[in-house]
Amino acid sequence: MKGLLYKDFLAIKGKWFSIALVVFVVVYVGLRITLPGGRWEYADILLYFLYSVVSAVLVVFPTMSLNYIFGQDEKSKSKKYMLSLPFAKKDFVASKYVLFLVVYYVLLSGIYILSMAFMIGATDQQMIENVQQENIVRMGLMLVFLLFHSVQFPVYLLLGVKKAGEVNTTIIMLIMLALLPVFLFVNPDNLDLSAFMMKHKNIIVAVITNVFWFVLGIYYLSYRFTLKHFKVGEVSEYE
Amino acid sequence: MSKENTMETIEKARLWIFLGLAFALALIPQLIFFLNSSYYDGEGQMRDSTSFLLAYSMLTPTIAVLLTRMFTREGLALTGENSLKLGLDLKKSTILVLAAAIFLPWLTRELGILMDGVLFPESIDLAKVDKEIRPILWMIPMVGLGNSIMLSFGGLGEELGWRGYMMPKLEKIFGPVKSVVLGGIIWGAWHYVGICFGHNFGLDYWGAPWIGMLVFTVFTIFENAFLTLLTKKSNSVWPAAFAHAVNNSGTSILAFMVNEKCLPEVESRFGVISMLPMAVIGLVCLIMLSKTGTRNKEKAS
Repeated sequence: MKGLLYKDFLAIKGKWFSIALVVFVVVYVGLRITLPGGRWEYADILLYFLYSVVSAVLVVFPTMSLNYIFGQDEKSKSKKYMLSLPFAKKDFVASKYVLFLVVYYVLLSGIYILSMAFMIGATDQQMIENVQQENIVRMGLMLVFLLFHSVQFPVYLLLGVKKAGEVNTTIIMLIMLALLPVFLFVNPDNLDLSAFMMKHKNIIVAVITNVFWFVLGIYYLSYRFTLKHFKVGEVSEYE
Repeated sequence: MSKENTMETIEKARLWIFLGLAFALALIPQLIFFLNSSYYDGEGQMRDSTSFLLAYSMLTPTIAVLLTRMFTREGLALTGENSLKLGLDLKKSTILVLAAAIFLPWLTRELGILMDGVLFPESIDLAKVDKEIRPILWMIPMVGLGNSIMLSFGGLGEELGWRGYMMPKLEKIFGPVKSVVLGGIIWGAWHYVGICFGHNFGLDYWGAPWIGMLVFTVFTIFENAFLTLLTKKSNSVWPAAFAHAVNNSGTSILAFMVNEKCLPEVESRFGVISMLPMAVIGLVCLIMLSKTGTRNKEKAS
């Protein structure tokens, strides 16, 4: 599987957004070293803004790479030639799932290291607390994205990039349609969210505390589903 | 000089370079920091700057490994023989190793606190737990374990160095049992500067910081046996990284019920009795490692 993972890494390595991300991180670290909080009164604000932007981009980076990674396989017709290659379809499917787990792990670690770099030089205590809270939000967002990928990967692998794009658009439209009545007709002042949360706090806490295991379980089930229906060999729908 | 002797000399040189870098990169900043600042704030809590420094220190063994491998032209292979051991072959035996890595540190901690509770019944008090938290208390480890896995880069930062690089080299030179003991002592010694300034045990105890250093080194020897076996069985540093992270998180249900004032000073400070389950695990792992070493010798002859 090492070769398959490396192939996918190469698909995104030279892309403009990968390079821009690396440059951005280097600039951020450089500025943090040269601008500790006490040296200039706006140093913390600038670095906090940069940290927020960099970490937000890091969170969405894997999703932006989806089309490149899966599209690269279609361009090179990997499924068609897989019969003659020395790996099983299980390795091919697993490599996609493992790749994104590794990417999210690396990016989450990177976000925490960047936040440590911010907090070491910062003097504004409020911003330090904001960064710590943002880290938790970023972690939660990554889990949400992994959940989306659990739905997207079977579509990408079984139906192809073009159909996956159509499915993505459909899902986004459905979510927006579902939210539209909420935005139009629901008055936030009438919603007593804190009372609702207090009433169901045990369930809410159970969901929040176990969301990591839940997402991992769904991700694994998605892998098993994809593996069951994945076919190697001639694929006429791409040609 | 024979080829084997040359190789052994080269391996020893690499080991010394790694240890020099790992100690220098971690301990010099710690010394500078602690001589100019203090471990705790005015309220006896760990300062933010201390925790950042310790987080940086956890990454220094990995930085040391990468620099050593580059200087000594050992290469930066991710998997395979003499690699960074960053691969993970997900066969059934490895899944079992991963499960042991994630759950055993937590279970030994619970068992340790339970032993304290058996010997000192007043030390476990359910009334200490807030009534609001009691229904969800059982979920606490799931959060702890999940967060430990997601944020295990600190554990990985240490394990790439100690178990991924140092232990294989020590084993080639000293054999499986001596290498575990020596590796544990080296790993423990790497923490001594922090312990001198209050890490883990504080400073207000008899014999500080020497007793703290001794107790910690005993712990690191047993823990080293466990983590080394995890690494050998999976041929990967990931199980050890997860185990390290879970151990550092200290996640536990029973910890919420502990009344430290009802424990003897020695136990509340050093956890000597509560360390026993991990010591037993470590001993079992040491025996298993020595048997693996014997089997390899028989195969070679």
